[in-house]
Amino acid sequence: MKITVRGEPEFGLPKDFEEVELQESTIESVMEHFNVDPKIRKHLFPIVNNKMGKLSQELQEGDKIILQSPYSGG
Amino acid sequence: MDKMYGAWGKLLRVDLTAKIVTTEDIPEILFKRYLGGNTLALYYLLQEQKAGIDPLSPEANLIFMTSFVTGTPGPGLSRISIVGKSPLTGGYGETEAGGWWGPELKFAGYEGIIITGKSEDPVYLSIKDGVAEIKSAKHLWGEKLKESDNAIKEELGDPKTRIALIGESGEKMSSYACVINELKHANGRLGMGAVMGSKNLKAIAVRGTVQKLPLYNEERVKTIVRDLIKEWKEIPNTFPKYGTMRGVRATQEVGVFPTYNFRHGVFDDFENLAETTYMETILKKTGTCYRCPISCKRVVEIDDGKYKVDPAYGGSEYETTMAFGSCCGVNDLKPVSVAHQLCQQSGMDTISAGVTIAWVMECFENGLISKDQLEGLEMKFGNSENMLILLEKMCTMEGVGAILAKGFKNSIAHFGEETAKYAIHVKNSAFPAHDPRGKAGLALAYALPSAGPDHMEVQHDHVLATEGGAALYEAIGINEPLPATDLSPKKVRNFFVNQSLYNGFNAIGICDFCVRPNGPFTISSIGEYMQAVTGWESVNLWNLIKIGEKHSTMSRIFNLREGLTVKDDTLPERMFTPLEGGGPCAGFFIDKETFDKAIRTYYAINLWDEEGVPTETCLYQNELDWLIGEF
Repeated sequence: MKITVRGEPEFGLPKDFEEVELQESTIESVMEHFNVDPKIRKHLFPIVNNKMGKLSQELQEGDKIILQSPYSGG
Repeated sequence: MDKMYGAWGKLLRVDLTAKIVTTEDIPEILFKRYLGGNTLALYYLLQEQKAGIDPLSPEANLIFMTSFVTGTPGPGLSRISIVGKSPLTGGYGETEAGGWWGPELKFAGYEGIIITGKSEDPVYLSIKDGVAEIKSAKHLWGEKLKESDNAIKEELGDPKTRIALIGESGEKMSSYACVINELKHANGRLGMGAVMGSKNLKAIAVRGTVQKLPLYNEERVKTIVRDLIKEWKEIPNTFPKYGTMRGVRATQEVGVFPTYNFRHGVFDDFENLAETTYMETILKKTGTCYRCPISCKRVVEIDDGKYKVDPAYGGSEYETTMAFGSCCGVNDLKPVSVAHQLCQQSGMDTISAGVTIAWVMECFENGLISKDQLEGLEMKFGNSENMLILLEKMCTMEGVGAILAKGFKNSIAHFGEETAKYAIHVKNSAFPAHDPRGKAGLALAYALPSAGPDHMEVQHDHVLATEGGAALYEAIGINEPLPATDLSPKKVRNFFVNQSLYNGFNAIGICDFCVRPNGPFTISSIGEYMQAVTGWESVNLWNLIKIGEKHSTMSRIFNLREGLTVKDDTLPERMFTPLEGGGPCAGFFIDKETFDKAIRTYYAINLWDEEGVPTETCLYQNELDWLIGEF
């Protein structure tokens, strides 16, 4: 399946939306694809198709995903 | 008094009316019961200040307090709490800031200062190596912060003196005047600068050159710090690189970036304000606080003919960038930076000032405030030029600026009740830079705290909505991630323990950012660290949480004594209506019934009654029985 992804370049994710082809329909597989450090994978928050998502959610063809480390504070 | 570790156990009392300074002991038992910082200061405030006094009268106390870990080698142990009655809310006033001032106060020989009375003429207080003196500040009254800071350092002959100052905003008693140390670390929000100004106290200069803080187990302290920093550096983290400015993109992406006076949750031009633009266009270098490995502070320099910004005042951070940027519809970091500098120079709170101007803009666009009432200024969203002119009037307390600088309630009384619906505040204090319609825990963090809406009251919902984020708090019983917009009793319970932890942070004076996920400390390691510093078994994570709970009840009692009630634990009407514009939270609103239930659940968890009044059981449970019958 093809999806587009962007996120923080410091974590290995593309700065601008990039299309990727995945074998599995999971966000974990997106992180695997971009070699995101396992230490921070469970800390990333997904925004899928401009809606707040969950790391466990199943992805659909054409999904647009932002993976961010959520911000807190001032 | 037996020797203590990490603390001298010394309190400086300053009576400005009589011009007398005295030193007294802080008994060990008080550190064990209240730790320090906000909670120890509040203990003294409740003990010594009568209810109902004018916060700007000589009878008002102004308390500066650190803890037994302030100035010790751990990261982020730099915070100073300032506590008193707030001229903005009429209730409990508490504010924290980092920098070097707190540790230097410790090195100078004191954990805290209680200031009472009022000097006839402007003065400043100098504390060096255990000796405190009151000196004339007549020549400094009316001066901007940088000039005052330089002059005091020159007079005292020591450029390493650390100085906490007020500016014109504090001197003229703006309700949200700050105390600012080192020109860039602000004890903001609740008008403690005005309380200082009401006492004719311009500054407090501190310096310690002789004493070294004794540590119970110095080797253990060093080992804990070394291991924490090593482990922290192995985890990818963008906070050191971008500081709080990372918040612009992150809050925009989840749709809670307050825009056009909290009408929208995304700002079309957010890239102009984002961390990357900041780094490419205005950032000179990063700055830091005492022994902090993160360096989240920003230093900005601009001199392009139109805008001039002095790096001495640091640089705008996320909250300020929201307040003068998206909230006012301004899409340029340069006027935002000038606004930041105007506030720093005069010691005015940036969040309060920016959100107040955004309110003026919305009222102006809706015909509720006229150009004439604004002394000829057209205050449409996005008009950065007029934003700066109006802000300057506020900072100098001139004309309409003097009205706005006294808070929303005062401004609504002047401009008309119909303007109230656009005022985004709780207890007269402006909202910080996160829209609670997409972060439901923050709805509680804005409605409930005795000191008004606070973005640093708890860990935020999106962090706790991830498995990794929730796991950071497993040691305090947060066992599963909850959705950001959840406001169930489970969320309220998590809010309660998290708030208790964060209150505990302010009691020991640790920067929230120096704790995971941003910084080196894990919450469990804080307990170990406190024990290594003090040798006290009783200071541990459990104790930190319990004292945080105690603080919520103590501050609640302070507010009840001052006449605040359950009616003050609310949100502006806008939060119960759908968020406009685009983004992931478009259309989201806080359900009133769920919110009211959450408030009642929070009261019950605290052992407060339906009206939010602490029960006798609560007071016994929190070792606060000395407050029975006091409110």
